[in-house]
Amino acid sequence: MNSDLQLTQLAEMWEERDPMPVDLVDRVLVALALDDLDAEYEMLHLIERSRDLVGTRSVAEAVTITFAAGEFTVMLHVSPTTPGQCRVDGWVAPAQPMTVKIVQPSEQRTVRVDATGRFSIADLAMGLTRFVLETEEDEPGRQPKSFATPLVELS
Amino acid sequence: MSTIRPEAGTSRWAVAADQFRRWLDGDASALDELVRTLTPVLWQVVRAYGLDRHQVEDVVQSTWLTLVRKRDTIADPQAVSSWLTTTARREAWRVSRVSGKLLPVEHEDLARETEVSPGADTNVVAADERDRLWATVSHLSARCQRLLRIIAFDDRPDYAGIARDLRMPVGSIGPTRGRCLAKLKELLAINSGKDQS
Repeated sequence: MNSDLQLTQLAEMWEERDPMPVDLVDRVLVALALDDLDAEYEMLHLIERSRDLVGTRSVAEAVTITFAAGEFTVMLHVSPTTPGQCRVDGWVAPAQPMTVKIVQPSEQRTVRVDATGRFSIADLAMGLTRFVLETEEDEPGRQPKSFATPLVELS
Repeated sequence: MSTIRPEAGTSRWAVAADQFRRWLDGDASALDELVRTLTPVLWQVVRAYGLDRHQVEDVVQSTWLTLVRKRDTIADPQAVSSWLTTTARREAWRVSRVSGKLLPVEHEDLARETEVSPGADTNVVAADERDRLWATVSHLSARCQRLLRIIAFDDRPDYAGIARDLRMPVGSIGPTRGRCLAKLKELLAINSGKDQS
C-alpha cells in the first residue's frame, strides 16, 4: 500500500472515519423545500452555537445560536419550556425596526423586533426552523433588506 | 501520482452531471438525487477547513441553496461538481475567517511544513491498513491534511482558490501536495517497519 498510495484510498478513509451526519441529506432537502425562491435575501452565517450551563440537571439546557452577515448580527436564545416546545428570545444588532418570519415545515408566523432590537416567541414548536428577518422602510425610498438563517434545529 | 483521479469518484462526477442536466430539463426529483450524490462530498471538503459540525452543516446547506438560485449561471453542466465544491470551499473559507479558524500565514520554508518527526507516539499498532492510514494522516501538518482532503474530494481541483484558502502561493500547491503524499508514505513505511520488528 505504501508504494501505490492513492488519493482514492485517502478519500475512502475520510468517508469511513468522518462521515456526514445521517440526517444531513434530509435537512438539505427540507431547507430547499422551505426556500422562498422569489425572495431576495442575504444568507446569515452561523457564528456560534453553544449550550448554556444550568445549575440543576432536571432543567433542560438552553442553547444560544448566533448568526451574522457583514455588520448585521442576530442572536437566538432557545430555552425549552414544555416537551416539544421552546421559547425563543432574539436580539438583533444594530437595533432597528424589523419583522421576523419564523418558517417551519408545518407553520409560519411573524413577530416584530422592538426599538431595542429584541423579539421573542413564547411557544414555538421544536424542530427544523428558519428565521427570515426583514428591515422596514424607515426612510422613504429606502429598500427593505432581508436576511435569512439556514435551517436550524431548535432542540 | 501527478494525474490522480479517484476511480470511484469519476463515476460519481458523471452521475452528478447527469442528474443536474435532468433537473435543468424539468425533472424535479433529479435535484433530490443530486443532493444525495454530492452532499457526502461537500461534507468532506468543508470538514477539511476545521469547522465544527454545526458550521459544516450550515455551509453545506447554503451551498445547495446557492445552486438552486444560481443554476442558470452554470455554463457547463458537466462541471456541476466542481462548481459545488468551489462554492462550498469559498463559503467554508469565509466562515473559518470570521470564526478565527484560519491557518496561520506561512512564514517558514514550505518544506519544513511537512517535516513531521515520527516520535514514540507515532508507534501505530494498527489493526488494519486503514487504521494505520488514519493514525498516520493525523501526524501530518494541518496544512497537509487540509490540502490532501480537499484535493481527494475534488473533480477538477481549482488550485488558485485552494492556494488563497490555504494562504500559499499558487505555484506551490502541486509541489506541496507531492511532498505531503511523500511524507505520508514515509511515515507509513516507518510505522510498518516498527510493526515488523
